[in-house]
Amino acid sequence: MPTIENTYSLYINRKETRVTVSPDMPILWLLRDVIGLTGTKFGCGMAQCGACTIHLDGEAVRSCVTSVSRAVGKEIITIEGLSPEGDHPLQHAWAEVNVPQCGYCQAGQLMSAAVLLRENPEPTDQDIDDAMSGNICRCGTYLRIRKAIHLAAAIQKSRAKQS
Amino acid sequence: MKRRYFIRLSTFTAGAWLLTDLVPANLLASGKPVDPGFSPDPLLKISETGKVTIFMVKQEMGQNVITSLPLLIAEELEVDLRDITIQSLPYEAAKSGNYTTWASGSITGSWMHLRKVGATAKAMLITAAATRWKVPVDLCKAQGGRVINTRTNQILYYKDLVKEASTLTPPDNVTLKDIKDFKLVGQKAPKTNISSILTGRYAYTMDVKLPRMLYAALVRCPVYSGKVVSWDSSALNGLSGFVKVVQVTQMNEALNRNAVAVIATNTWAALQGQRLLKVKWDYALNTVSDTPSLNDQFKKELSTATPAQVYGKEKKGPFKPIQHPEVYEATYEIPYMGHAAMEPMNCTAWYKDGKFEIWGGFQAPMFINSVLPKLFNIDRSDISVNLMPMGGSFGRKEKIDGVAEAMQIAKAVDAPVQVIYSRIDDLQNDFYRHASYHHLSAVSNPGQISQWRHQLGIATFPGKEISGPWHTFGGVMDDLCYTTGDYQSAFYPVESPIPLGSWRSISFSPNVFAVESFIDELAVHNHTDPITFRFNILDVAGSKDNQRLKNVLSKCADQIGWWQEPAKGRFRGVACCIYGHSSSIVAHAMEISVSKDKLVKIHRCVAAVDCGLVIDPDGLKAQVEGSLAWALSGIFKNEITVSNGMVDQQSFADYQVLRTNEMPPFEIILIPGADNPGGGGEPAVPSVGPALCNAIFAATGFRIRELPIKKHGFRLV
Amino acid sequence: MISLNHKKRLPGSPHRSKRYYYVISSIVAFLALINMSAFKSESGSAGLSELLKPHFSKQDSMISKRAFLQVYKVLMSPRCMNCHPSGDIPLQGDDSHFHLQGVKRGHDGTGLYALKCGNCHQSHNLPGLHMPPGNPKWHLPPANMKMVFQGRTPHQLALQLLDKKRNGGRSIKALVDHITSDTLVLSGWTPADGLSKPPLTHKAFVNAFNEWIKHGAISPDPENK
Repeated sequence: MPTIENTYSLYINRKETRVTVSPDMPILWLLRDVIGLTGTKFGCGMAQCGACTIHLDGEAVRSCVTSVSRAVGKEIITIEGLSPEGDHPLQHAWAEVNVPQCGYCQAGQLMSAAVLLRENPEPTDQDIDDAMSGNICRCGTYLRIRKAIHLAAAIQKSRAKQS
Repeated sequence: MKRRYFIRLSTFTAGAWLLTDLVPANLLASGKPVDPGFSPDPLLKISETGKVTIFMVKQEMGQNVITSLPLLIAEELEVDLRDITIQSLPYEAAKSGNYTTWASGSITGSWMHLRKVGATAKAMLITAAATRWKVPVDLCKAQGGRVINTRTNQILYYKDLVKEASTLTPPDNVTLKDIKDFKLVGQKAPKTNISSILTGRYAYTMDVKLPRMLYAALVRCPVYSGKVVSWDSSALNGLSGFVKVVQVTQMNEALNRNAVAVIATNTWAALQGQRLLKVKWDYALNTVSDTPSLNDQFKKELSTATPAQVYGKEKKGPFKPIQHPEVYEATYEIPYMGHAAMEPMNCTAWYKDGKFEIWGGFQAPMFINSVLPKLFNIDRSDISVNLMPMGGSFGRKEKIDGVAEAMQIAKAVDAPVQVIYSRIDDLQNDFYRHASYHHLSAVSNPGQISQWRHQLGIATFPGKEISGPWHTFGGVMDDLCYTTGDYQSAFYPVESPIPLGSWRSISFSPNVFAVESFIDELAVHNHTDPITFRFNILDVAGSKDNQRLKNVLSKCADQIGWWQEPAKGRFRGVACCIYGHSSSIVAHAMEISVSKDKLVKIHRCVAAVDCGLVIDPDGLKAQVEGSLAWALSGIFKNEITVSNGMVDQQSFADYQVLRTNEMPPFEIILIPGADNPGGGGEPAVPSVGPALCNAIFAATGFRIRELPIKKHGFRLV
Repeated sequence: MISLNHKKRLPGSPHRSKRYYYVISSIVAFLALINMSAFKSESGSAGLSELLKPHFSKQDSMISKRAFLQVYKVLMSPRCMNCHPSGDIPLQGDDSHFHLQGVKRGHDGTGLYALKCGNCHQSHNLPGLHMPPGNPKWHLPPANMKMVFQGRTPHQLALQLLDKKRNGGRSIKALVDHITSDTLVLSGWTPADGLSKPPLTHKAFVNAFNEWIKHGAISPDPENK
């Protein structure tokens, strides 16, 4: 099965990056194996678990099933670029609540939660279910994630007031 | 100790602790000189710059030993948390047993040692300061990384004492702090690796990247001991990134499977190649090969065979069924279970100049040294291992199948190679929690159980070899916590078609499910409240643990309001467990409602936990929360079934795990306990399932004797 | 490999006879003549079939109803019904279980927050078992026009399909076009690996649909479950 490699110019974490890969390579493997951004994790490869969630033009796409060709002309943000200073309200809240256990799914959890908070600054528990049920955590940090999202919403609100 | 070097990936500081994230490596030596510092023990080093490094000998996989264990050294050493760096202790084959991390044993097994390490270093630093000041050591005290002369209020920082302390001989005996003086232990501690996790910089085993690294995905024989007949890789020609195909052989019957590996320059190409490769197998089926016939075999063994082992008052002797007109009986069928950790199995190996270097996450790296050198015909010293944190394990990563595969493949290429498992590979090539079949019978009245029999059919692997008591018999040998008069338990091994391994809370999860369900049945049979019944049959005078269990049950009952009627439409269930080998005791109570169309809603869940002395309360609570999610997933949804020797389940579509919308609210009570800590990772798993099933019985009158609950049409909402 | 799938030609629309257009246009003209509000009723007492009665024979009615029962089989197959659920959670698989990721419809039918359809479903099917099926338009009916199939009897579903207030505002012609050439409808016949196709071929489905319309778009009797 011959596959052809193409050269793409992609915007990853606010930087232009040129890569030569086959067009159907999922963004996950481009990030991890080609560019070396390993913060985005492989969990299932079938869009079932959410561990590989990144932002593609602001949407929480599953990078394990989303090919590089779909990213052309769009902006990719990964966990490494969620907040350049590492001070996203979610990161603060996650640390305050000691959310992670093994931590492997948390990049995906954060990227999903970031879309929720952007679109709904004061999410209810139901909203959290509606946004976060696509992200599996086998360590069972769900209750803390819920708590941390509520806390992050409060942090986001108070920051908005200050500025 | 061999000199080691590290590739620094990143350092990120925030919060109280500093953690450097390092991918360790031997072969990538940078030639940097090593600052000897003050290191009275391999687990601790204080450098002349004041940097305090604590080395982790236990393996991190989410259970947070990376916080709780360093805390114990820091407590005795009297250092500021901000000054501590945590690193993985370079692996030494000669001390491989120290690295074993399982059975909720890290805290119980090492807490005194870690305190001594901290206290010894502190004593030596104080001696060094006292010598310099020419005052008795009694006049000096340590605090916040400094030694203080209590008479003159002079201070010396630890870093300024490194040279002198290094020349001292460690004292044989040191005084440990009184528990009531603990400042860090018992308080909420920030996870030491949290900042790097939250910014994507924490390197798990799959994040190893080495120069020219290749990736391998394997097509493994779906039947455990099947053999490769031939393969056709023609469809891989022209696949971008494809390197070559290599055969991997089963090295022994408990290690790995026969397979064909597709090697490529990136994971995607390897996975595509894996899908395109056609392999012809000889399945060589010669045993019970599917789930229904396994269950038939259990029934047959229990009714006809002589048990392989019997426990009871008399310790030995034949199994004697109860001959009593009022005998009450029940049978429970409990399926195989997979692990499905978030990070699928993977392992990286590099073969160079006749030696292997391994990168991976292992609960028991000692197996690498005890098993593999013989099979590869090399010296023990020809394998070096770099231990890295695991993205979950739950017992799975005590196996070293991935290493056996990676080493074989590494020999066939001139570069480091990472064996990666797809999710399908991970589920289908697991080492599963054994399936079991329980027949319980008893004669009882509201006040006592006069006769008790527990016949236990267990799937065993390989062959009919029964593994150690904790592994298959925990909680049902002579360690049953209830007083049962005439007591016997009997074990009937049946050969398993699929390989077996440890699963978070090992044998306690199936065994306690059967026992605690049956106790509930007996309580109902005797028209007695389930907690009152347990109190009646607990020999509190006979055992300290039984007294603790009674206390745990009382606290649990109080919290959920057991002694008051629940609201209309709500029903309750309770169950408990003495997790003997890590001396922790847990009870769960649930309050649920079940709709007409069998939707189960858990309105309240309470756990009362007596883990003895609590080192890291927030971390312990996290483990208890995680245990609830883990156990609910298992009890409600999960089973591994076998057809023609092959595992049926492939992904999170047919091995569905608990998601956030199914996680119930949870109240945890930590009961302040003894002077010694117990384990925390597993003890809160076993009682979840029976508590829920007992509540479902209370709500519906339907007794769940076959797992998972989902099988009976119930759905968790 | 994926690109091959991507380029796979979808089946074209079936050949349409002149008589077909004649019948369709006469129905459309007829519908225009009568008061559309009469189609509101769900009970069927004053439904389209009743109003069309004078123009179609008993035999027509039988043929039409029988044809709809074929159409119904397709619409209630997992490939169609899974995205026309009775609740706000799409269904999955040949057993039509609730979408495992707890996806919700959202107001425009494209999901909510981090669980939007396009976050996982690509423009095409991905090869391999359990992989998300794809289509550029993958979505559910919107919240204000849910077009529920799940749980509907043939009678109810036929009436619903003809009711502009409940069928996405579609004229009969638009309805026919939709089932004939909408790529999302067509994708039901190129399911992802491991998923079944609807019980009729697309051609047979379109033929049955046209047959149903041609002979009066009569809804099966209410007792026909």
